[in-house]
Amino acid sequence: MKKVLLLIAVAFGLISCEEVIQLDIPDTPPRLIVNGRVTDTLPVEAQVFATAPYFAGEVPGVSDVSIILFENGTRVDSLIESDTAAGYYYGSHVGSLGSVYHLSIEVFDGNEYFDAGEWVSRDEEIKRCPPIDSFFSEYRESAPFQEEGYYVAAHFTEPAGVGDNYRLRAWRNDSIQNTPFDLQFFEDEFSDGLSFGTPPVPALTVDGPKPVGTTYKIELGSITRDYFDFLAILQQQTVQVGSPFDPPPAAVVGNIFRKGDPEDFALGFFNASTLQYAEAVIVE
Amino acid sequence: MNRLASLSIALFSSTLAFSQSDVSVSGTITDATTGESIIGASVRDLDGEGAAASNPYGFYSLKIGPGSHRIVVSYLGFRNDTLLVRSGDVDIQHNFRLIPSAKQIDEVVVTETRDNDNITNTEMSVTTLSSKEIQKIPQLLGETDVIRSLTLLPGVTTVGEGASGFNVRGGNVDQNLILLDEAPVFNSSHLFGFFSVFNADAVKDVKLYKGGIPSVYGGRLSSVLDVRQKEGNNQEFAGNGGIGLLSSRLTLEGPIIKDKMSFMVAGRRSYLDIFLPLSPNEDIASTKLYFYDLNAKINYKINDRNRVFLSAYYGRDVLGFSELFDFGWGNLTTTARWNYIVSDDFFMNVTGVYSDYTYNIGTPEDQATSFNLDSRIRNYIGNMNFTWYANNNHTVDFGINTTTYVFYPGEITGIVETSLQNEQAFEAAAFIADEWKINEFFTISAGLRYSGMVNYGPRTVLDYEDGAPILNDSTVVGSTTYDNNEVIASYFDINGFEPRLAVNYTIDETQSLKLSYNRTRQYIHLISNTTSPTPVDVWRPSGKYIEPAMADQVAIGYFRNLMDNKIKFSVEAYYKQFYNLVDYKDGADLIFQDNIEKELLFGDGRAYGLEFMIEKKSGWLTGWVSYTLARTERKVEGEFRATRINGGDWYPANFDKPHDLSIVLNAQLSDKWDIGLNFAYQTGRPVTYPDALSEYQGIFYPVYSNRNGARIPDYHRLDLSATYVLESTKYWEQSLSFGIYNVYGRNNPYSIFFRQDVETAQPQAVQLSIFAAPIPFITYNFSF
Repeated sequence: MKKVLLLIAVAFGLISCEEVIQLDIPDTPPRLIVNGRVTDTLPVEAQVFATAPYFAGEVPGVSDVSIILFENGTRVDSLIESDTAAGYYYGSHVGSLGSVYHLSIEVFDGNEYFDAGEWVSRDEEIKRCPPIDSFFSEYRESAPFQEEGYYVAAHFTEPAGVGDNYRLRAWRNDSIQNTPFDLQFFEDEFSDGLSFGTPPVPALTVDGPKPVGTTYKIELGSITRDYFDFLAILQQQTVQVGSPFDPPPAAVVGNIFRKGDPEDFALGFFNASTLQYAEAVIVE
Repeated sequence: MNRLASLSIALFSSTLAFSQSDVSVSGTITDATTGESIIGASVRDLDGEGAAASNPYGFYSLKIGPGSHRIVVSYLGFRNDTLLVRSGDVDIQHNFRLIPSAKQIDEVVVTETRDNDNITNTEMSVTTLSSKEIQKIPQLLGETDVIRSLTLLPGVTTVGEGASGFNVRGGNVDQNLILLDEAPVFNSSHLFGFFSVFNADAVKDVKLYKGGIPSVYGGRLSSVLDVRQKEGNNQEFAGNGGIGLLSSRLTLEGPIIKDKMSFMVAGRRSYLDIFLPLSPNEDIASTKLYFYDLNAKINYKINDRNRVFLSAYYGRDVLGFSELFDFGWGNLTTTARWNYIVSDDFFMNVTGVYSDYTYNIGTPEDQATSFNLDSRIRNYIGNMNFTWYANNNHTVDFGINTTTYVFYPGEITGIVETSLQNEQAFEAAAFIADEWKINEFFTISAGLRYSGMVNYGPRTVLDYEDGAPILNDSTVVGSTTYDNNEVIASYFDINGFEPRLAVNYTIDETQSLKLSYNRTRQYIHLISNTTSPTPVDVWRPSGKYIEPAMADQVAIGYFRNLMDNKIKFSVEAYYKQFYNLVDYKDGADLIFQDNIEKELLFGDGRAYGLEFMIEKKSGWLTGWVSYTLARTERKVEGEFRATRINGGDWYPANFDKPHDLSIVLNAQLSDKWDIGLNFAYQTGRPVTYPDALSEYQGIFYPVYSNRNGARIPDYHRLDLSATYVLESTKYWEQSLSFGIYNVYGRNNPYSIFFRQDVETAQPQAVQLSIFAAPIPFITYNFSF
């Protein structure tokens, strides 16, 4: 259905024209951004930034912030800032399936961007994620919404029980695909307990058409519904823009809040995942 | 009834009439050349107090006292007709057949009265446009467009060119009751909003109520657009049509039985798609994009008292991409009506309507990944309306309306088969109104409408935790299944009373003051959070979680006619308050949702403004100038951050345009040449600018906090057109129309939006414009 809206927008595009313009947008005081992730595979990490004027094109890292990881309510790790990249913080703790995590972020007096204050994330649980059964390339004929050529796709079996959500990330020729159009996440509403790649559920297409020899790595992660909703609004606000048939601009609200006041939110998201990896090369 | 009985009734009523010293004069008013009934013709007793206007079926009824009376009927564009009535006469039935003033050849004096009904009646915030007037306005690609013409009137706006629907005095597009021969039209646009579904050739008359909405109408908050199709020429066979750049059209009409039965059929088909394959761009070349529509009507005058009408409309848009994908949508309406003149002062109309709006999207069936989605809304309407012309001081309207709705929000077939649950609703209303001429200064039109609706099963509805916000599945505690016809929610309650009041204080023959108040209630809602509604947006009824929306409006106006009613000036001020409007959560996903309440918020609205209009409807130069100063705002102040919009503060609606100026002029330069001009200026509509830039894993995204806090640059545009009458014969008249839309090529922005550049990943602001260049057109028109 979203594709239909996209096509309506294409039809609309026949008679419209776009031009990049210069605008004067007043600056506003910086706001805190915290992005982080705990997984069952890699050590915990987080990035802390300050928002910048819209046209600045980058957001500055925020140094000297205390970031504590809690597992099932108990403090388990304190993240340490990178020596080389301001605002990038790394811990050593690796999460475990079924545990619940949150971050506590403290900004101290004298911070370059913010007044002192304490921020927390909402709880995130590491959910189950089935292994990737296979990851392969194949040649496909032309079909609706599909040009002919080589595609990479994965098979995996969705465990029984509605309510699982997933995010897929891909590296093509060792380069991560991270434009707004690359965001891929899905729920099991229509595929609960079924195998991707066995009718009626098609294989999970990752990319294509691409030339023979292209290498791929994929990461399939279980995600919470909160994170799914965050990705959905992030995608909506970055992809579905411009045509009269797009939703209105809206705040992309994550799960970081001022401690004791869930209505006062910072930007960004701290998420928890089980991760599965697979690699493939396009072959003839 | 045998002759004796009718004679005795006639004698009796004449005695009664004599005893009351009045006699009624009633009948119909039609165009002598075509037999079309004339709506709103003025009927006056020159030797008494009585005055009336013909109703939508051309019926009038008037009471006269003893003595002799001259009854004069007048209507713009027609010669006056006078009936002499002598005293002592029994009730008189007389059908007036007016001769168009342009057609008269042998008469010496043109007696065409410009009436001052606009001064003396209680109607305010109402505009009538005839098909002829609309056809004189310069139009995009020469396509005569009813709705685009309406947006040139004060108080009517759209979010931009090419947006579906229109906004009346701060109302959303779903708050307009659009009636085509009394059948509701759910989507008034073709090609997403560039053209309207009304074929101007098939339309007789368009009347827009922005306020002072009579109690006969209900079910929408903001306006009524009453479109009446032509009945068909019952005198002779005739036709007209046009061949244009975008589309061609043909209308045929004629008598089936002269004076008694006639038909009208009209068709239109656009052929933009014929040129698309010429495009070098493969995507465009393989696109299908067209619309067509058909209007048909038959009417049969059984006798002087009974008349029946059957009318239908079918319109469809088709959009396709290569052989991959097809998308179609359209309205179907059918109306059956029976007019019965019960007695000389009692008129009845019974209407039955079936209407269906549908869209479907599909891929070819043989594909492995084929799918098809269908969505529709059907309704069945029964109306009984009565008018009792009690005497010259009281006209009473009353009746009942019922609508049964079935909503089919979506069914998917193909590789995945799934469907949303249907929703059923029944809406009913009863109304009464009295137009009371208190004295020569005051006239009051007081009405009351009571309406309500029930939403009934079968359907399974989710239950949520008490006191918690309905945000997502986290607060779902269970579900309730309702049986067939079991009531899920009922809104037959105290809020169902909708008072309607209009007061006219006639200062003198040339000026009056008017005041109106109306409450309206709406039970069905278009679920759409995009700037312009799309054809795939669905309508949902009020139910367990969606309450009916309500609006109150007060308006006051001063009306003044100048130069012997040649020039009509009006200024109106209005204030309107909206309650319980449907709004949408940030990031709402409205597509294919069974439990739509999880995506919705409810808020209030307010709109206020001043509307000026000066118009000249007769003479070689006609047209109007209108200016509106208005604001429209919305407020959604939920208990939680996630259930508020804009922090719970008032914010401007998408179509809030404080200044709106329109100039529409038409000059009849000679028998051959006719030129038209229109100019529009509007404040740029609100858009949201980002406060700052944020980032998530390499994706830059804008931070928004102030909804609609900025505006795009102002809009202005000039259009010109000319019509040249070509060499014509008695049997074949022809003309050529040509013109330019957006003469000076103003690059009017439609929106400004923010995105990350695909290549450099840098944030940027992008302006989107439509029709940024002058667009010429040429159309060949003919009639026979």
